[in-house]
Amino acid sequence: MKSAFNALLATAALLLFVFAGNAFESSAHTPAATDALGFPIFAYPPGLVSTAKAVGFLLLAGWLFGQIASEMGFSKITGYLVLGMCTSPHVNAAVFGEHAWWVITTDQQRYLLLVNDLAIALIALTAGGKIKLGQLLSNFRSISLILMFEFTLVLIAVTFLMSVLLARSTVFEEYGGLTTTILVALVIAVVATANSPAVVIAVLAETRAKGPMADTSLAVTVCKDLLLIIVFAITLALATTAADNASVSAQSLTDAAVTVAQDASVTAEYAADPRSDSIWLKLTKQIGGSLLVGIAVGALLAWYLRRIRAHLIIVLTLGSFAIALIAEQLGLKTLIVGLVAGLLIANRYNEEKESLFESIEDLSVPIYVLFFAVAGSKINPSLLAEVWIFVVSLVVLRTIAIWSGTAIGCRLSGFQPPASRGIWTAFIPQAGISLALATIVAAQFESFAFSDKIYAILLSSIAIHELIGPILFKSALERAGEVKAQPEIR
Amino acid sequence: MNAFLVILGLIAAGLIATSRPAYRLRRNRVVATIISGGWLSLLIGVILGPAVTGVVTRDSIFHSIPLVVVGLGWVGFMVGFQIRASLLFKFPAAVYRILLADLVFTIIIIGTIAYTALRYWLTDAPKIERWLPLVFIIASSIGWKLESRSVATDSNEPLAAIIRIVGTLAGAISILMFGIATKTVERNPEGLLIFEPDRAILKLLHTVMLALVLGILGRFITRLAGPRPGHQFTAFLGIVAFAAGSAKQIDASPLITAMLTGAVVANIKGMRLRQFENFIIKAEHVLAVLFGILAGILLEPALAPAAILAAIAITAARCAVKPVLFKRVALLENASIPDHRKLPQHSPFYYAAARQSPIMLVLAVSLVIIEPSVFNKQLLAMMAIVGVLSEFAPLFARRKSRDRAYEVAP
Repeated sequence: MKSAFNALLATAALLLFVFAGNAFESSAHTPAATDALGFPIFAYPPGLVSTAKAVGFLLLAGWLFGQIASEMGFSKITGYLVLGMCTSPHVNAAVFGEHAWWVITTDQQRYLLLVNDLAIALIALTAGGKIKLGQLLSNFRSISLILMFEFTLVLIAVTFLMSVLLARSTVFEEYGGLTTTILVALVIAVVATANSPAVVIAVLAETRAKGPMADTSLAVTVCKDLLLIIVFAITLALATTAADNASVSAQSLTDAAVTVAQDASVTAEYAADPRSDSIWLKLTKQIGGSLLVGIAVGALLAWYLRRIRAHLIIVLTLGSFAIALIAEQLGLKTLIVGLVAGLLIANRYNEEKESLFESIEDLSVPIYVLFFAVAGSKINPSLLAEVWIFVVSLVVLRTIAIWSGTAIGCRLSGFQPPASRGIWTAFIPQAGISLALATIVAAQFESFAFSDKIYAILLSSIAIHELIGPILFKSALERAGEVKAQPEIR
Repeated sequence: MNAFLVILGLIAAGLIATSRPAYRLRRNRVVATIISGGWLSLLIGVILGPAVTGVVTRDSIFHSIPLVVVGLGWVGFMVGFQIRASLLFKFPAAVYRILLADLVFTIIIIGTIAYTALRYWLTDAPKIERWLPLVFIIASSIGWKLESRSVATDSNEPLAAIIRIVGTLAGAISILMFGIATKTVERNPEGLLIFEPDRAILKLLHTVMLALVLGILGRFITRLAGPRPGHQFTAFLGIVAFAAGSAKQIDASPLITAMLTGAVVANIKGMRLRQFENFIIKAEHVLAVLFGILAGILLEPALAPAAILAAIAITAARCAVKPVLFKRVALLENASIPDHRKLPQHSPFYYAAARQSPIMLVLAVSLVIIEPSVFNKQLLAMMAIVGVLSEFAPLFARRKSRDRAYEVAP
């Protein structure tokens, strides 16, 4: 407990310097300023200049909060999330007022989100590296059955619940009545099916868990993320049909479904042409292109590891950035590109994989701290008060659906206890991808009266899953006996 | 094409170029000269930047300022980390004599050249606008490049060591001088540059306190993190980003805060320094490549005649005076040491003193990001000219000197 107190003290000291810096921040770079030659001086956009400091604060304080959480028996990720939540602009607005200057501002948040790309690429590389193709094929039956039942049950249950709850609200009447309600409920359900490979990988890395539960939960989580793309395409097809029949605002709903279907790596071209006949072709290109680029990146990394082998951490950071940037440029899925690259190295280049994944482990700590702290800073606790009945129902039903779907899958596939008892907890956490989807949904429904409500429901439920997910999963791993006695000391 | 992708590709190429398998290439002195000073990266930056092809815009660099600030912090920390009290007392007196002589020469001679050039260059601007550029030129001119392989592979150890030690200490003095100067002035809401002594003192106190607190915090975190590299790396990155980011927020140089923090961390007893050293060493090459490219992109080559003349004059002064001064002051040492340890009368290493320190590139990038103005970009171009010219000057003088050195050697 003494080190927890010291950690809090250290965070307080950092906060003091955050405020001191804010007080000193000069008024330089006003648009009127000119240099010694009379040329105008470039004015930085608000929040950009102080983002580096925010990164430093989140890294140090987030890491300290992770230690405190760990001492209290929780997952470190919970600590990172709580720190992010405490320092978020929403808390600032609620406690100090709209214009008060707090640790993280909304402007800074925009720039901090850049870490997501890096984190997703790195997470995908790690996930790919942890999947052994031979094992995947031998466990194919259990993985596919668990995935299928869990996914379907959540989708059906949440669509049903949300349809019932939203149908009671009058706001949908003017937007096409029941059809629109069901479509919106389906969109929420699709977001609810998503879970977080990031949390699963981070908890596995933190606990160094090994065993059937760890392997299968990771494989299911990753495969489910890939499946989401296809399900979004189905949602899109439904949305297009509904849009043809409904008289009001069909285009916007279709756009929303299209955008959601593309996850966070949405491309403008794709979104601009939602009803195009070649949509399946584009989807195929997206997945096929991601696979090809993933293979190329994997082969390139393997060549580097074999021939050069220097500056591994830096090369990995650059490689992850490059994966994210290339994927964005070509409209591909960062997750698939990274996953394939990692999978290729782990399964094809045995000699090279050890050094690579050791370096990934070193690099992953700051990336996770930052990624989850930033994700935490997006949580708005005040929203919960407005939509708590929807949120509580959603969380409870989703949990029941996950538990029962996973149980059916485990039973049918013969997946044995103790791993089968707690594996459902791996599908509870939601984080980056779910947040990105929620944001896209909110942006697409922006012009509708129900937009705020939908966003509040999604964000609040994600926040709850984000907070309880890592705790449940970590404790399930411990109960299954897959966590090493000295998890973190090398 | 995305500017970041281009830069990432170039950094990757730089990493390969500076890796062990590419070591053979660097045995050639001309290739070593081009690669080691960051001048090749600078040239690539110029080609990519708006001055030539425009593949990468300056605005895209300014929009990625958090990354640049962290990079500057890393360099500052790296310099500060080498300042250890225990080592400072062990250096021979010659090191300090040479450093003092270089400092006096730079402030008086190069300072005079810079002051004169700035008077003609900034005829219409208020005098206060000359203050920071003047300090920047002086700070950039202190010391020399640490690298010695491109000068002579048959290195005379004591002289090579002196080159490195004086270069390191001079780098720290440059950062300190420039960092303090950035805290003395700031623009008021009307955009006018003003002296703010009270705020300057407070800002300095803020920097010193921050360095102390981060140093102590670093110790606490590293102890809590244990030997795990990932956790140590988080602490290191957090400290560097927080120190540099705090400085940038108050429009001061990120280098000085990070350097002082590095110095505090290096001098706290019981710190696990090895991991930190590893991170620093691992990033050295990539930072050299990065700042070379950044400087190349940011510089504004359309220079006023006063600036071009100043660049030539500074280079001439460096090449004419610094080697002689270095040699004279170093040889004073010979009177008090035994014969077998005496420094040679002739050595190509004396000419190495003419080469400008690459810390200039970092100071210049720091200056431009503190205030992204056309004038600062021109200053960067001016000092880059000095860097390139002074880099190649010793190559011409070296052969003759080396031949004479062999004649004298037993």
